[in-house]
Amino acid sequence: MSRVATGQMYDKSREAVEEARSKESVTAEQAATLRKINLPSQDPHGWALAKEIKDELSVRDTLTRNANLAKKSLEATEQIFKEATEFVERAYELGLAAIYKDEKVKGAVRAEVKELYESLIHTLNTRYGQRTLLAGFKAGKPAFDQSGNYLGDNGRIEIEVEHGNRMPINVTGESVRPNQEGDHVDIPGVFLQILEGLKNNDDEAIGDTFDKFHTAVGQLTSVRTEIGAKMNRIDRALDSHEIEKIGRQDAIANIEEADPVRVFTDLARDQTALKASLDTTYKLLNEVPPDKLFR
Amino acid sequence: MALLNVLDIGRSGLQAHQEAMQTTSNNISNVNTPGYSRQRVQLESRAHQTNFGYRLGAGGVELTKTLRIHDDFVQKQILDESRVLGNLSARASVLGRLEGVAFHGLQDVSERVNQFFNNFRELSLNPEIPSLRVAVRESAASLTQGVQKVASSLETMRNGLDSQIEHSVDEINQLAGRLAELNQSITNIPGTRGVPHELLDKRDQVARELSVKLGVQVQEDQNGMFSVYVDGVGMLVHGAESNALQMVRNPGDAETDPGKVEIFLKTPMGFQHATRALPEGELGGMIQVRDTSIQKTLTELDRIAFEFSHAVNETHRQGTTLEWNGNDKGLFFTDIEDREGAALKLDLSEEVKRTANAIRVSYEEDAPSDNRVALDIVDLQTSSIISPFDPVSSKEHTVNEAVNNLISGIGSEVNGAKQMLESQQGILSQLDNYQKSISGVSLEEEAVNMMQFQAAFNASAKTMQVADEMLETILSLKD
Repeated sequence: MSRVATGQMYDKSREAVEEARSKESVTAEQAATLRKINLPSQDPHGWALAKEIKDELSVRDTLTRNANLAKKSLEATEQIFKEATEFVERAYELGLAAIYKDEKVKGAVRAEVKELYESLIHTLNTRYGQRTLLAGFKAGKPAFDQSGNYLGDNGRIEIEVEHGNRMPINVTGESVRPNQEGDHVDIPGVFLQILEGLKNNDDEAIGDTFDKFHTAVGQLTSVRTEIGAKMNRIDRALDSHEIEKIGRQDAIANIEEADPVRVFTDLARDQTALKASLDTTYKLLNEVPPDKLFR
Repeated sequence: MALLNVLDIGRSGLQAHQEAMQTTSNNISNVNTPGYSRQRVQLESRAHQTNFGYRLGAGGVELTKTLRIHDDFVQKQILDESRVLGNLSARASVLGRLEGVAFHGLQDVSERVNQFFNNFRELSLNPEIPSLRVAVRESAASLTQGVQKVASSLETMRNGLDSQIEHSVDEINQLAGRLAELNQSITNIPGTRGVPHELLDKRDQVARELSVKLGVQVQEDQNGMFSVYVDGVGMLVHGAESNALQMVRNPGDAETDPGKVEIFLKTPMGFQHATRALPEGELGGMIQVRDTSIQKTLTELDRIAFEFSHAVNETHRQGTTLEWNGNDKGLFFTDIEDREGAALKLDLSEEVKRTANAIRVSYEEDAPSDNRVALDIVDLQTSSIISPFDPVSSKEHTVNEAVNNLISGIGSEVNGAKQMLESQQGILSQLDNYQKSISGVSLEEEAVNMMQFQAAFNASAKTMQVADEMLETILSLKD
């Protein structure tokens, strides 16, 4: 038989109420915030995991925004080469139409080809925001002068499309100029050559540009293919960001968020426990045996 | 005269039960007094009275002593466990506050680190846009302010803790003085029926409070005096004498002695350094959190600020600026020379403060779209540029990993302290419960005792009344 002092009875009641209240307050906080973890000490490992994922998501948000902007810049670059291809094809057609024709025809064609050349230079100097798209790093100035000389450099502007993974997003004016392998032509130069041939009524010079125009079309198509490939890579990166984002948000929810059904049933349970504890305390402390003895 | 003896016996009954009622009444009135040990009377029958070898009759009752119902072994266990509880309780409480300060602050720093790198990322996409440089500068300024704020909050907390330690030392000195006085009082009062129980209870209570606050060892000597000492430091209370803890503000060498308030035990033989030798009790807990947890957080934050700013500066310095000023050193952040206090010193360099155009994005001059410096700075986000805090570990961390490790480390420490505190509270609660079951007052028990003593008192009075009547009868016979 163990002896029970009066103070123990009160202590037990107090402890029971405090414990029930403490449990209820933790569950109530989870119910109010619908979060399991409100402080790292509640689950240090879970918190660290969730934080790492959140950091990753924050970076992915910026990478997604950057990739979308880079894609727009590439679309603008692709438009340059599409228009340049049209100018080349039109110049080639005009050359075909003018060869072996009289000077009057050649004069009219020359005027049109000159217009095309100026449009070509204008297009090659297209700016996107504050950047001349084909000027490499020296993008603050035009890429080509009116004589078709390239003023830019071969700078590759890279962006980070995935964490730690860079890709170049620009094409420089070098792509419309001869390359080391010798299979590219100087496209503005071809225009200048045909203009010269038309001016001098030099059918041989005009005829000499036809193969070069063919090469130029291939050259431009190849650049457009390269741009398409870059855009595909960005699309894949964007898809990957989207998939990762959904997966990681799910992971964060699993770690941090409380299951509403569970948390509210827990809350109901804890509130019942608290009520029972209060009722018991009330009965215990209001009907104590000494009352009868001291009456 | 046997009848006269009956009167004497009745008187002894009245006296003994009146005194027993006093004890019961004392127990009842102290039912809620912390540390009070119930008392019980010891009644004994008085020896037979004799006269010249003739037995005159029974001797009545006497209250030989009042017993203090107490278990010294449990009390010793409670003192031992209280030391640990005091330590854990202080640690859990201060660490909880540290978590509150550090968690929100460092989480904010971590987000600002992300913002800083994300802004550099956006600048790397469009290095020609001036407003993006301004955005980078603003996010960097916000980051430095965030780091400074956390460091400053931690410093404030550490100073606040010093004040708390000072307050605690005052309390300990008062308790030590009181315990010495109680030692003196207990030995000075010659109890007619043993030692003065209330003083013993008070002394036990004071010893327990001292144990919670300082983590002392208590021993009772042969004179019944408590000697109180702190392991590795010295005697706090010896008999009727007490020594005092003293605090010294130490602004000096923070590497070997990070705390500002140092504690010494002042004894007649001199000062004994006690700061490092207080492993238990609330005071020890507060000092441990101050000198380890808070200091570690500050040192780690300093390390992060120092190594991060140096890494950014090193990359940034290699770039070219849009706006050359003869004094420019190519710094993005201020050049911090010493790790210590780096978090509070972290700031933008003067050149970047002056103009956002001082932010270097390109390696080549006159190449506005050259974004390679910006990209290299962005790469620092995923580079392990922060050296490990633990010298044994060789794993370096990224900035975010280092900040997150710092937060989760505090979280783990708080979690561990809370769990240990709960467990210790359980142990002490069991011991308290056991002690109360022995020493605590039971009102039911006292009510029954009261009735028992009342009945005996009434009966004694009745025997005296009857004896008186009998005497009256005898005396009336001669008439």
